[in-house]
Amino acid sequence: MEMIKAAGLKKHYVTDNYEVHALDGVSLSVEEGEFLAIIGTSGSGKTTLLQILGGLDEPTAGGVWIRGNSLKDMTEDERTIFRRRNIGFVFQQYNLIPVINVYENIVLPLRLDGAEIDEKLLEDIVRTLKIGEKLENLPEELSGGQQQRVAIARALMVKPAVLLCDEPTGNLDSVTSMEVIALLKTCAARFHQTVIVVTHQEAIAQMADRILRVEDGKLYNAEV
Amino acid sequence: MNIIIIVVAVTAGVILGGTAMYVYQGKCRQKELKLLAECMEKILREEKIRETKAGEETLYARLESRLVRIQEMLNGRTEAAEKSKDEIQKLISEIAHQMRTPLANIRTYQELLEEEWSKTGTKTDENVDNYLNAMRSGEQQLEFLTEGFVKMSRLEQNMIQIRKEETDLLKTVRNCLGRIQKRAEEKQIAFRIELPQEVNCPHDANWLGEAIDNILDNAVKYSQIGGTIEMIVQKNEMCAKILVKDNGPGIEKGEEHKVFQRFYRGKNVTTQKGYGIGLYLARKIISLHGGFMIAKNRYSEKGLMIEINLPVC
Repeated sequence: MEMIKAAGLKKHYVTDNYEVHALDGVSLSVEEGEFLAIIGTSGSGKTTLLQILGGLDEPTAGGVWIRGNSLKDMTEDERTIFRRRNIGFVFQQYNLIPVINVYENIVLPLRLDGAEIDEKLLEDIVRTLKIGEKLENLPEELSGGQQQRVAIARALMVKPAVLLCDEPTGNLDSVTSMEVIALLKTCAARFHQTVIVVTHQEAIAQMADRILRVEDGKLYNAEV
Repeated sequence: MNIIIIVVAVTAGVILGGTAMYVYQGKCRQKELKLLAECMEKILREEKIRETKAGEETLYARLESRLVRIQEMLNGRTEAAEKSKDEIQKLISEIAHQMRTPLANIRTYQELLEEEWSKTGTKTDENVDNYLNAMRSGEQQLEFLTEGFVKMSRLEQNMIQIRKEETDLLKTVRNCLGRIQKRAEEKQIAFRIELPQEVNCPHDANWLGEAIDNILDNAVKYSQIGGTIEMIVQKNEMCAKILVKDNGPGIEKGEEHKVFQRFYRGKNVTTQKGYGIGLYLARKIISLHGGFMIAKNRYSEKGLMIEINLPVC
């Protein structure tokens, strides 16, 4: 079943001086349970694409459907709730809440939804991500790589239907990167999730079921 | 006086309003619970459920969205398991298929070797004879096993079509008896056969023949020298029955159902050659015919009784 569908996505930023076409007519279709990698250089539009797919940003033209639900036909509130229930997001800038500790950051989305915290899963995830010792610390006390892993744990804990990850291994060494992707794949298989990973690292992209390439706001099939 | 009336009226209003609200809410909850129950029924019926209240911040919407996820996960896992099973079947099939050619090669060269050896005339080296025999025996076992695997995986993958073109069941049975005769004679096993005049039962002569061959093969293999094997065919309006009874060791009590499993060899029979796939294949073939097979120890004497039931229409 098709989980994510995008048709004719365009994102134009217009200023008085010039127009930027971050996305220029992107269409894609992702099947349930698929692990998709989107590669591209900086500025190719991949972050914009991910934000729009996740409903965090609105396209200038085109639409996104997740499990058949059209995002643009939802109100702001409805979109927020839909996102919270169905999408896990790993941001490039982590976006952790600085005033609460790591544990609280990880379980925040669950608390917001009134869901129970799967402590066993939490243990497994933080152990694999090697942040088990840092649960009481505040985000500012962690290194960039550790913060990134906290962001990943936060996204995984919700067991969302869709996982959108923007450079989840950008600040990690190659060994840890592989472990993180392996963890994403294991969780995806276990909870039947659809995963899109945006990355500029070929080695990470190779671990996906399918690779797409973004360049100058357009999407291409990547030759592996 | 007026104030009292107003206070009483307001209090009455509040109480009535409160009660009405309470009842109304109760009804709403009932309705929601009914809808949830209906969702769960659908999941059990394997019908796809849809989110109707995707954007709402209510308990019902949360529950509904969880149920949708649960269904997705269940279906996903089932599909993954099916796919895995399929792939393993295909792998077995491919391996067995690939093994056939090298085995055929081995057989050819072995036969050539035996020919050459017998030509040299000098039969003084007994060892070489033994070596050649051992090689031949090993090679035959491998071929037997490979063929068994290929058939098994073809049956499992439903690549086999049963074509019920033959109706004369006795003809097929007699052919099987003919094929087993030599092996039975080698062990001095006698056959006691009881066949009616005519049995009309549509079946696939090749595949059913193979199934009966396997059963007879088993019977001969596990009978002692000089034993007797009974073969009885019966028919009534609903089905045709084929019974094969031997005097072998039978099955260990409690293991009757295991007899049809792949590679099951029974505790009593470790001295005999065989791989335990004959009965498994036979049962598969019978079941593709719409029939069934039973294996039991005999009532009055020691031995195994196999009963095949085939529909006659």
